[in-house]
Amino acid sequence: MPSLSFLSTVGGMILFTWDCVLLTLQRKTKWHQVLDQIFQVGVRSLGLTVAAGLFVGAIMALQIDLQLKDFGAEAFLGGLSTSTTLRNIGPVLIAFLLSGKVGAYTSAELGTMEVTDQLNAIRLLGASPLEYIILPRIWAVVISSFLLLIVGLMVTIFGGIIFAEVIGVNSLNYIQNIPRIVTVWSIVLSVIKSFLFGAIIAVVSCYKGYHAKGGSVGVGIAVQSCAVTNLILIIITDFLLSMASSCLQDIFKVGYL
Amino acid sequence: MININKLCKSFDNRKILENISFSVVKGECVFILGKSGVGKSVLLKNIVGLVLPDSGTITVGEIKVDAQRPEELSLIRQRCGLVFQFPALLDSVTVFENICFGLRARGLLTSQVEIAARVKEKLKLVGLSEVVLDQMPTELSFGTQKRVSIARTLAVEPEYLLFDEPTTGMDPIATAGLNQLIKNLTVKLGVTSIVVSHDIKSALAVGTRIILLEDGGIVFDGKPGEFKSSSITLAQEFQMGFGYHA
Repeated sequence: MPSLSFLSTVGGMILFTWDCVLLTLQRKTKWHQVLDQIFQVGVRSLGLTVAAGLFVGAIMALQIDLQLKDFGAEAFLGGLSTSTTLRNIGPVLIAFLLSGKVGAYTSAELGTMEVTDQLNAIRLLGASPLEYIILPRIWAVVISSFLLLIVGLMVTIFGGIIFAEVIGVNSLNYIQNIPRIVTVWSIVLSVIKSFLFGAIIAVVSCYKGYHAKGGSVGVGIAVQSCAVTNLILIIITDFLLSMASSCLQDIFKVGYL
Repeated sequence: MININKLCKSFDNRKILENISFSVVKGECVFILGKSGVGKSVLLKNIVGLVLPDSGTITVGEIKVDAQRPEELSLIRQRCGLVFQFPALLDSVTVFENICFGLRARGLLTSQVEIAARVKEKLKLVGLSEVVLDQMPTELSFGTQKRVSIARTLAVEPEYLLFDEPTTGMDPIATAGLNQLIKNLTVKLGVTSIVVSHDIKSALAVGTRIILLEDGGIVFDGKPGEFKSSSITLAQEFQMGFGYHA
């Protein structure tokens, strides 16, 4: 049954994450390898993230401006656009992008290592693939994705400012309006989402690649499954965080909008 | 001694190995022959605990292969070096790092000088020059990658060497060189080898014993001379296929 299979995957991922957490607590992370991987998966994704961020910011400014015009409330464009981008659209869209770039790369690389017996060779040579191969990649993807999301979000704001000028909204007014609507809570929520989405991409892509089976077809299936699982988990996590944020707002009266 | 007793293994209700029993004593070079998919590679992976049997036991020396005892499994893997069918080199590190990986992971040598000396010694043993040491595996030909893979396995100096189709993808000259290497390891260094292969020519030239698998079981177990004169159909087919029929 597909639902059982999905639950089994989630259970497997939780145990996999737990193993990685234990190894990290035992100080078995090889940080020089983490740095290598950050370069491989993170630095090389920077250009794409910046380009995507600019366009996401511009799209949000354009769409919200269209709605606000009907009410003659263009003055709120900066705040509303930035708030929506920071709290929801920005992290989700950039996480989707990174799940395609970083997630697919990682799961394909690990999947190939598994089906070509590279991981078995490591086992036979007396090392743990989890410690030597997986753990550095998990941390590299978590750190890279988190930093890329933060950079991406800052660029989306910048993209919004630039496009506001294009559609005739004064950029100074746009910027001045941002703190009226964007609260500290918006930023905190955005950072929390960025970290969690980064962790999801890291765990899912490493887990799927590590458990690939059956030659090149198996690697293809692992990458496909990685992409689908990442999207589903990111959407579900976004929904749960948005719900939690809404409840917190009601209870503590913090972070309106 | 490696002792395999009533080993059974199935995948998805398909029986691959059924009641396989045999022993390999020190200094032997046993060739395991059989058609594709008969379970030769599965048998090797069972010996080093990468695949676990459904029933039956495997012991290496006095140690039983048991996934529940990781420390003992690690000892078995230290004593048994497996050369995979495909090179299985780590793509992200150099040839040098690949060969010394096991030495470092097992902490067998700590001095950089000793490690470098061991790496060069094994590289020479497989007929490669030191030029390849700083190259990445992807820069090498398949045959060279395979030799590096053998050097990596030899670097930890295992008592037992398991080869999974070692000559696949290698040219005749490289094949002859590898056969000579296996023979030298057996005769000069007393290494015990189990070689899974389709290559009857290598089996007859290098092996001290041949085991033939068919339909999950052993249909022949004897010396190369006995194999040549065997009346078993598959044994004859193997020899005819390679023009070696007696």
